[in-house]
Amino acid sequence: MSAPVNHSALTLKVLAECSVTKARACQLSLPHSVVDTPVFMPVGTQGSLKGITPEQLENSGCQIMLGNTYHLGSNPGAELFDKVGGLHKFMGWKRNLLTDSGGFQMVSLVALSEVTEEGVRFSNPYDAKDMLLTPEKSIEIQNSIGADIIMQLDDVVSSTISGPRVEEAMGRSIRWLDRCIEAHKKTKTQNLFAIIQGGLDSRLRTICLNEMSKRNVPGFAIGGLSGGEDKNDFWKMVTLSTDFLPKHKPRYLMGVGFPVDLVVCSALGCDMFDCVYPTRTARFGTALIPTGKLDLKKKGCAEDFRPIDENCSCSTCRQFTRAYLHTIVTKETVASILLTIHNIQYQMDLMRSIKEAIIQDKYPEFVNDFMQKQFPTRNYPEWTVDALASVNIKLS
Amino acid sequence: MKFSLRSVSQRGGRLATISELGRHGDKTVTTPMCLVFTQAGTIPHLTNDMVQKLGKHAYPVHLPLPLLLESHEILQKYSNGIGDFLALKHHLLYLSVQDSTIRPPEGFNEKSFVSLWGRSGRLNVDVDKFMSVQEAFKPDWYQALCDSDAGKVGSRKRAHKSVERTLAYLDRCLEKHKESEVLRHSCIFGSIEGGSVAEERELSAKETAKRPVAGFVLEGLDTNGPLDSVLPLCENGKKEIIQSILNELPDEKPRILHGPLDPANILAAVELGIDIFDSTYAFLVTERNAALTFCVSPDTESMASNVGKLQDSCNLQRNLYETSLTDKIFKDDFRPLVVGCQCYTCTNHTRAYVHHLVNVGELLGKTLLMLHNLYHFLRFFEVIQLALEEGTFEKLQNMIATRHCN
Repeated sequence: MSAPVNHSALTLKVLAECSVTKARACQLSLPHSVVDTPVFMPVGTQGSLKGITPEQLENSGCQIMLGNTYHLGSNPGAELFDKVGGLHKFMGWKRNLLTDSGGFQMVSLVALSEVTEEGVRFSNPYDAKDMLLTPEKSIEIQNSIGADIIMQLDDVVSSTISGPRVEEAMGRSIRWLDRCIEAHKKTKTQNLFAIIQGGLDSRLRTICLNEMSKRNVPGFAIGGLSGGEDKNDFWKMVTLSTDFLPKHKPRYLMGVGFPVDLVVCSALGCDMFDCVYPTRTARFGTALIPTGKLDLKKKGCAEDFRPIDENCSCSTCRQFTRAYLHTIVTKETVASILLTIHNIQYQMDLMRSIKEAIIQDKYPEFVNDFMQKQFPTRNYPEWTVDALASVNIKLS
Repeated sequence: MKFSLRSVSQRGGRLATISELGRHGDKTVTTPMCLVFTQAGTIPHLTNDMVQKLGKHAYPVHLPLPLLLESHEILQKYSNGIGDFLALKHHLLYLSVQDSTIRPPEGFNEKSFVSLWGRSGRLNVDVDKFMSVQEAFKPDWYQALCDSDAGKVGSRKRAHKSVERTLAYLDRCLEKHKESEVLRHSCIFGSIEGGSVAEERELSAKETAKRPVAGFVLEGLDTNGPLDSVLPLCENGKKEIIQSILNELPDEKPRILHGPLDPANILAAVELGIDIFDSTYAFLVTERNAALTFCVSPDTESMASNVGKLQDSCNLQRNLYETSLTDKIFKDDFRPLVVGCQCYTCTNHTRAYVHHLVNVGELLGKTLLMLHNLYHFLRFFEVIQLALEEGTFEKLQNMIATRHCN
């Protein structure tokens, strides 16, 4: 076990390492609270987790959640955060926050954006206003928001693109990391993470890993994945990154994901994850269960008087039947809240059981058990078989 | 249930206690009181743990039938009743015929059935179906099937029909109620109809009063939503109609008046002798992203001495009952919605945060507003009871009128 490393605002203590895979269970100490890893971070884009109060989120066991800089930078804006003293205070969340850089949203949500060495430029044809998001500006906004972990502005390209643009983006991301480090004012209370880029090219990824790990940042994210690329390529980039990244710093796999992804990528050595999937799918009437998903809109639920999951301790499962939820799903706002509460609890419980299995050094059994429940006919996706085999787990 | 009138003030406002309520017959409520409105069985935007934060005054729950009708067959199979199904079994459940936030279209009730509008459209409900629903749902209180369509103002013929039919429905409901083992502990309420025709109203009241009902619902008084279409009771002779109805009703049974009545209207209705209202007003204010900010006393001192202290809790728009949180002026206002309010929203969050949430369309905005608005509205009823007890009801009316009426 490695000795805990102290950055003024972050400490990672490795509690256990799986003797078979690359999985590890850690304790991540951040300014607002301790986080157990592997951890799933739900996404509260605009300073709230879709109908859930901070108190309800706390009750689920969540220790860290995300906010999106692009949205929050527009509404309510950095100035307001300066006035109120940060997003924690603004929304009443006592535990940890992580903000992304705003770059990804700008590029994906905004139709007319242009990336130059300076930054990401957005020209709005309707009001002729020019907006420029530079590494400095991103850090400035994130400093105002005040999250415990902040992300560098990176030059993100779609993972389905290949060619010289990928190398250009990777190189630029390194230069932007340096600019972000330079601009970051609150190193004692906010941890700036680097984001490894390089697309699906192992040569480029390796260059990026080499360069970025020379910088003294408290943690690393694996970026540019989870964007619709072939999963068979995806896992290889993940495992390449975790092979290379220092063991004594947290590894954050951005935009991942579905329960299966979380289990497999934990085996590959990732510590932190985020994804809109569980909260988004809740609003569309889908609950997460050990065997996969339950669509509460389906007629089969109409007379099903069981809870979503008999073994779930969330308030939704303790009070309500599938039949009741079926009557209100997608129709009443409370349905959205009830399913979100359940899905968050599911994710928290999943991560807790991953952590416990690693600590007990029983992770391979856990993985097998989990995968069998999700794929009862053993029709495992090829990528999961390969990825797990690469860390010595044979799926039965 | 047991209704005990504690006092009737000179001008008509009544204080009462309703006891022996609930599954175990051990709960008590005091009136004037407010039923917590639900939509399809949910208190809008609030999960049950949030509802619990409203305290004991959120005990009585109002379930309008239209959006629940589709669950009839499911509830029959479920067999534990709607309280259990909705995880509201520790609340008093009252099932009304119509949804008082909307005005159903006129002309769709026939002699043997009433039209209810569910999610998939119009449903025709006759007495057999209606009572079958009651047996499946097993509410604590329910309003007997009624025809509240009184036709055009002044139309005698249609008004008479509404009275006749409603009495016929009531009698048949009472028959079935008597035979029903399952409904033994439920209480049935009769509805007073008759539109705006005084004689029909008197007839309806006299006749309904003869039946063995637990209480009365005053229907067809145009007090249904939407919000801005509810006229003051002082207009169009409504006050007189209500008076004429109540003159015929026994004192020792509660009277319900549905609809999103604003505070001045609530006070006018209390003064006439109405005991029970619903919270549709608080709900509809929430739906337009506003907070209820009209003056209520934050503590239990008498109203008169508190008038001075209330300055801070009254908001910028002193002539209205509510304040819109979409107003940009709240962007950096870090005070609670109402200073001194002890609700969850006001003790944990700020105007700035709620403004942000409604501005970007986040669901939590509605949740926090609904919680505050219900708290504030239920608090208002506490204040009304206090004012009746202390004899300061008129002062309360004057304060509301001078501070908030246009």
